[in-house]
Amino acid sequence: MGQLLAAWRLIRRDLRRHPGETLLFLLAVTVAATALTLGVATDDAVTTAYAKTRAATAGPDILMTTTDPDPADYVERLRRIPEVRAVGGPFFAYDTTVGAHGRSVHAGAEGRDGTRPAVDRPLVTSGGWVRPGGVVVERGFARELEVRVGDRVTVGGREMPVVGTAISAATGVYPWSDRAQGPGPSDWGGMVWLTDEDARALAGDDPGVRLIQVKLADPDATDGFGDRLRERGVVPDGWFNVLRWQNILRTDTAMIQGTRPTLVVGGTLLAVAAIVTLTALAVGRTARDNRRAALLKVVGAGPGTITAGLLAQYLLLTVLATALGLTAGTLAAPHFVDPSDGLLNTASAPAPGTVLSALALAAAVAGTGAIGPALRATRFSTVHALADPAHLLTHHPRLNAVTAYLPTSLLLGVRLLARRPGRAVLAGAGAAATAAMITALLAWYTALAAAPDALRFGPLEVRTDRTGQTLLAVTLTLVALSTLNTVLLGWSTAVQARRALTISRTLGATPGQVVTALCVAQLLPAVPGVAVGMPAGLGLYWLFGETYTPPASWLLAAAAGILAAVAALTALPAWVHSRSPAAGVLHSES
Amino acid sequence: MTTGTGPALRAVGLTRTYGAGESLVRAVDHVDLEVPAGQTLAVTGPSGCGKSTLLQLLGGLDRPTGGEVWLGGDRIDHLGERALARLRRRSVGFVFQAYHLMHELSAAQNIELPALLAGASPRTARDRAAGLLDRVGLADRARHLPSELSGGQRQRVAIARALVNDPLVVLADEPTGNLDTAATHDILRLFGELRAAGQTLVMVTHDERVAATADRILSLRDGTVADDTRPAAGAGLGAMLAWKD
Amino acid sequence: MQDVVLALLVKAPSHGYDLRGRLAAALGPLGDELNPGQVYVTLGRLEKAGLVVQVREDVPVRGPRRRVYGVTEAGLARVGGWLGESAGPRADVAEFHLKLIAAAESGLADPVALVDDRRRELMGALAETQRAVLAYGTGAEPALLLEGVALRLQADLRWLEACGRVWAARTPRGGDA
Repeated sequence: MGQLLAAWRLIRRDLRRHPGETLLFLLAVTVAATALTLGVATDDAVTTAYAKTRAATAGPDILMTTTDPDPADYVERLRRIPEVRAVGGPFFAYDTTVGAHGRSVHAGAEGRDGTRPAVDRPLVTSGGWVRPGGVVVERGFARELEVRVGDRVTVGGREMPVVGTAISAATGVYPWSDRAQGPGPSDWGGMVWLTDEDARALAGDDPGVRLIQVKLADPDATDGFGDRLRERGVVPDGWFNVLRWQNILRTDTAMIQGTRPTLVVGGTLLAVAAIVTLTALAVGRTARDNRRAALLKVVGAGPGTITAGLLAQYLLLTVLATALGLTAGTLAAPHFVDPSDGLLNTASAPAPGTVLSALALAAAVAGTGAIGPALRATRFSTVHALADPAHLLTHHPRLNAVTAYLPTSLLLGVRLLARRPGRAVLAGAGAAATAAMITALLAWYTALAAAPDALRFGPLEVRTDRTGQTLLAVTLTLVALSTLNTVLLGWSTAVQARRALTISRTLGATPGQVVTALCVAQLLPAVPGVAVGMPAGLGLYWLFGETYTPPASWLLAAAAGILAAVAALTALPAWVHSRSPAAGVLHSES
Repeated sequence: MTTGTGPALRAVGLTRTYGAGESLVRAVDHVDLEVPAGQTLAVTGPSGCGKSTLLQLLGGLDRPTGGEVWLGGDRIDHLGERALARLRRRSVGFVFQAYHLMHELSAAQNIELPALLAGASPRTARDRAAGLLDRVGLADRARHLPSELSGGQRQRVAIARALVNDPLVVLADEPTGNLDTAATHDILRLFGELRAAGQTLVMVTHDERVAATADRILSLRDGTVADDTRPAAGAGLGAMLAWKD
Repeated sequence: MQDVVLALLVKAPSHGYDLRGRLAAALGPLGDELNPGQVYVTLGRLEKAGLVVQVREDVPVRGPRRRVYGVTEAGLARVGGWLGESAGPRADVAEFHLKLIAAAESGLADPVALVDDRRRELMGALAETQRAVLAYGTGAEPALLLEGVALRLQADLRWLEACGRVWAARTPRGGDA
C-alpha cells in the first residue's frame, strides 16, 4: 500500500516535471501504432465496410444483367430454384452520361419506384429517394461530381435536381459502379437512380438492360451459380451476365492496391523513427534514471521496487499510446480505404489481430527505446550514480592520435562521435528511414510522370490520387518525426558533451567551432544513413510498384537536402547551448 | 532500537580494493572498528584516504573485497542487493554532502518515502514525517520542493529522511561540506540533539571543527586507521587567554 | 631557545657556528633575525647553569677557534622534560616546529608521536571551544571570540596534518604499518 503510493507519487511527479518528454513519448509510440493499425486494418476495413453496406442495403449475392426486354417470367422461374431465397427486380437501366459543373461522366441510370424490393435497397444517406423528375446520385459518384442535394445535374442531356444520395452494395465503388452496360467492353463510370418512368423516358430508343438481384440461401455458394442456371436451362432470352458479390468486393479492394503497401512499409519506417525518438529520449533520461535509482536504493528500495517503478511509468505511457494509436488508426482506416464514399464507413472495433500487433509493436518500440535503458539504470552502481551521473568515459588513444591533425571543430566532432557510438547509430538509422521514404516518394512521382494518361486523368485518377496522398502523408509524418529526432539527438549530444565542450571553450574554442563540432558529430553518421536509405527506399518501391528510378539529379538534391536539414537542425540546439557563458555550465556541474 | 550492550556497528579486517596488478588501489585496507550504540564517531583524514568508501561499506552501499561488516549483530557484507535494500530501509539512515533529495518530491514527501518503502501505511508515514519536520525546525516548509529550500534546510530534510525509519545507525558523508558556518552550526546542534537521544551516528568529514564535536575521532590515512582518539577536555577555555598585566 | 640549542647537542657535541647554521636551515627566512651572537650567549648561559660543558676546542686552518660543547646529565634530563611537556593551547608555530626538529635530531622523542599528542591536545581544546560555540547563538559577543579561537585551532590542526605527513615519511618506523 505504502509502496504503491510511493511509486505512484514518483511517477506522477516525473510525468508532471517533464511534460515535453511525456508528450514526445506518447507521440512517437502513437504515430507508430497508428501507422501499423492503418496498414493492418485497411484490408479488413474494406471487407468490414462492404459487409456493413451489404447488411444495411440487403445487398445481393448475385447481380444479373440481361438484355431480355421482359424478364418477368424468368424472374418467376428463378424464384422457384431451391438455392434462391429472394429475387429483386427486374429493374430497367441504361447506360448514359451524367453532367455537372461542365463535366460529363459515364454512368448507369437505374429505374426504381417507391416500393422496397426484397433485395438491394439502396441506403439513402442524404435527401430522399427517387421521385418523378428527381435523381438520386450514388454517394461516391456525387462526391466525384461535387454535387449535393438541391444541385442540378444533367442526365442524358436533361437537367434534373438531385433529390438524394445513396449507397448500394450491388455496385462497386466509383469508378467501378456503372452496371447498366450491355455486352462488350465495359467503361468506368458512376451510378444514378431515377423513377422507372423517367428512366424509360430518358432512354428513349435505347433498349437498355434489366437488372435482377438475387439473394441465395447460402451467400457463400455463389461459385458456379451461372453454370448451374445454364444446366437447369433457367436462362433469360438474349445476353446475360452474372456478377458475384465477391467480385464487387475485390473491385473495391483494388481501390487501395497502391495505398496498402505504402501504409505497411511506411508504418515500419515510422516505427524505426519512433524507436530513434525513444532512444534519444532515453539517452537524455539515463542520467536522471540512474540518479533516481541510486537515490531510491539509498533510502532502502530494493531492485524489484525500482524496476517496477521505472517499468510502470513506461508501461503506463505505452498502453496509453497504443490505445490512442489504435483508436486513431481504426477511425482513420475507413477514410483511407473508401475515398469514393461508396461504402458505409462507420468505424468498427479493431480486430483482435490488429490490437495484438499494435500492442506488440508498441511494446517492442517502448522496450528497445526506453525500458532497456531503464532496467540498466537499476543495475548501475549506486556510488557511481551519486558521485558522477552518466560518465562512461572511454579512451581512444589511437583515435586521438589520428585526429590530432584535423581542424579543431572536426577534431572535436570526431571525438564526440567516438565517445557515443550508440548516438551515431541512432542518427544514421533516423536519416536512413527518412531517405528511404523520400526516395520512394520520388520514385512514385517518376512513375506517375511516365504512366499512361488513363491512370493520371479520367475516372482512375481517384485511385492514383489516393496513393499519392497516402505516400505524401506518410512521408510528411516521417519527416516530422525525423526532424524531431534530429533536434533531440542534437540537444542530447550538446547536453552530454556540455562539459567537454565548455572546457574546450575555456581553452579558446569559439562558439562557432563548438557548433560546427556538434554538427560534424551528427552529420558523419547521417551520410552513411542516407547512402543506405536511398537504395532501400528504391528497393521497397520496386517491391510493391514498378521499377522506376528517379533521375539522379533528384536523388542528389534529396540527399543534399536531407543532410543540410540535419546540419541546420543540429546547429540550432548547439547554438542555443553555446550562447550561455562557459562559467555557468561549469558551476552547474556540481 | 537495540538496548543491548553489543556494538551497533562492527567491522573486522574490512578491505576494499579497486583495479588490479599495477593499478591496484587499496581504498580501505584492513580496518577494524567497533561503534557502540549511542556513540557519535567522526572519520577524518585527507581527501582520498578512503573515508567515504569506508562509510559506503558500513552502510551496504558498496561491497567489501575482504573482511566483515556487522550491523546490530547481523553480518551484512555478503548479503544480496534485495536483502541490503531491506536492511538499509530498516537499520541505516544516510545523509550526504549533496543532500541527494528527490527534487520532484516535496520536503514532507521526501521524508515519507523511506517509510512508505519500508511498508508503513501512508497515514503513519505522514505522521512520522510531520513529527520529524517539527524536530528539525522545518514544520512550515513541509510542502516546499527541495529547490525552494536553502542548503541548510535541505540537509535538515535529508537528516529527517534518514531518521524516519528509526534506524540503528545514521551514516553521514560530509554532511556540512556544502554549507556555510551558520548552517553548519545548525546541523551540528541537530546532531548534538540526536546524540543526546542516544542515536548512533557515524560521520565522515574533513572539517576538524565538525569532527571535534564527536565522541570519538578516527583518522584514516591511505585506507588504514592512523589514529583513534576521544577528544579529552583540555585545560579549560580560560587557558586560551594569557592575561598580561 | 635554550631548550632547542640543548636538544641539538644531544646527538653529538657541536660548536656555536654549526648550531647557528642548523637553526637557520630549519627556520628558513624566519631565521634571518637570528644573529650569531645570540647562539653564543645562549651557550654561555647553558654552561653557567651546568647543562652543557665544553668538551674540546677545534682549531681550523683558517678562521677563529671553535669551542665545542656537549650535554651534561642535567642537560639531558631538561631536554627530556621539555620534549615531554605539553605546549599548551596557545603555543606558537615556530616553537613546535623547532621542537619536532630537535626531537628528530636528538632521537629522544618520535616527532610523529609528538604530532599525534599535539593533535589530541588541540582536538580536545577544539571540542570544548566548538561545544561552547554551539551553545551560544550566533551574534553573541562571546560567540564571535569563540569563533576566532576555533578557527585558530582548526588552522593549527591542519598544519599538524602536514607535519604528520612529512615526519611520517622521514622517520622510518619499524615494521608496523
